[in-house]
Amino acid sequence: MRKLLAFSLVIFAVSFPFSSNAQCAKMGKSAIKNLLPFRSNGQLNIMVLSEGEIAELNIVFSGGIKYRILSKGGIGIGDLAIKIYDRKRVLVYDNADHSMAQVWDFENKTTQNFTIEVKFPVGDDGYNTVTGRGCVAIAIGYLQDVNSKSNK
Amino acid sequence: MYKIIYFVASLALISCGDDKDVISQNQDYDVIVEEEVAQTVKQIKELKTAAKVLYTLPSPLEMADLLFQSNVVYDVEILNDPDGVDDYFTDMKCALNLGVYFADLSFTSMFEYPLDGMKFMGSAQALSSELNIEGVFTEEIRMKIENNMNNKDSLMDIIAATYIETDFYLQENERPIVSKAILAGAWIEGLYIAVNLKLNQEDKMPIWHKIAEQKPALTNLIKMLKSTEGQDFDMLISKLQELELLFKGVVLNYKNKTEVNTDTINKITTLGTKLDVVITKEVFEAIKQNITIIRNEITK
Repeated sequence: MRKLLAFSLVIFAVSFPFSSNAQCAKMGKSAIKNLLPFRSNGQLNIMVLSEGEIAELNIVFSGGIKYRILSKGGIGIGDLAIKIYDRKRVLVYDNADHSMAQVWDFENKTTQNFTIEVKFPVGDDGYNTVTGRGCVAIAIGYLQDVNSKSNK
Repeated sequence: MYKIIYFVASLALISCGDDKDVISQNQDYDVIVEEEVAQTVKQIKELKTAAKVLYTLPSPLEMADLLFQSNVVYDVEILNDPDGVDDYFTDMKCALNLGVYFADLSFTSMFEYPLDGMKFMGSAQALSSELNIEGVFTEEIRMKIENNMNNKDSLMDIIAATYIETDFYLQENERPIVSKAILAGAWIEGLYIAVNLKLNQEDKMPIWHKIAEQKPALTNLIKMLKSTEGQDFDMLISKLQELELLFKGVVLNYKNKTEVNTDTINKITTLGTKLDVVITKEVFEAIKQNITIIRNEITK
């Protein structure tokens, strides 16, 4: 019986994120609109995280391009903790230093790989208290000057 | 927290008709079960934590823009045949080539050749239909493109929106393999275009440097494909790993640590470091040859 109970819990816990993917995608879609005037990089980064869980997004920022990073948690989830590390794993940005800002721009001078770390808030009252899980979306936008010249 | 999970799991069992054992629980039993539940939850959390690493690639428009800013000359001949869609039968082939056409569409639009762009849009629309991706390449989008042919900025916005809408649809419908194949196809075509453009002597080195700077993006692409369940990408991964070996000949020499300057009023942080890029003619030619083989294997 105990094994059956543990097994049922596994099935319950594992199946939950799959059933909520569609909801997460919808939430991510609404977040993308807030990237303007930046253009989306075309990838929807959504994750189902548990309380206190951390996700990492690896991205190469090209030199000379401006980027906007936007984070959004599902309904009731508080502000997400965002940290950005450079290729040497040195912290270059922490939204805790900026009132937990969920949107921030970056002007990147040299191409390098960055890691964006997203942490599901601990102790917030709002997230799903039955499962302790929720959707998290990270949208990346970039800005280019399309009218700068013509190569025709 | 565990009590709640235990309660929900118990309810699930009750609903299955197995109520006698659940009802007969006592305090000691509760503790033992909770410990087991806690252990199981811990294991699940560990598994999930290990899986929570995502990779993102530069979009085809971003790649096209990097080329555009580098004074290269437009050449439609190197792009995929827009009439080649009938040759793609499997979902994998269709998805990879949908990515290829997205990159070609981005390139033609960035360089303001909208008539060529319309052909690639038609190809992308056909493959999207083959892949049962609904509600993205609609008649409305086609009309929008036609109406904005001479407005490059709007055209770029429409293409970017179409690209992200495709990813939305695939994620919403839990089709990560098709989604990642499109991203891979677009990145491969972008690099293929970059190495095959004819360049003046003075423009050569800046473009070679842009190509060399794709080294970390290639690593991310391989890791992204490896993170996908199943063996769908095994062959492509193997080919990309050969390309990665050639990219080891590229030296990205970062001279100092990342300088960080933050403007809190405008909410912008400037990140800078000095980078010396070394790519020899031999390394460039080897990369060119290899990516051309990979890309032609996809488009043939």
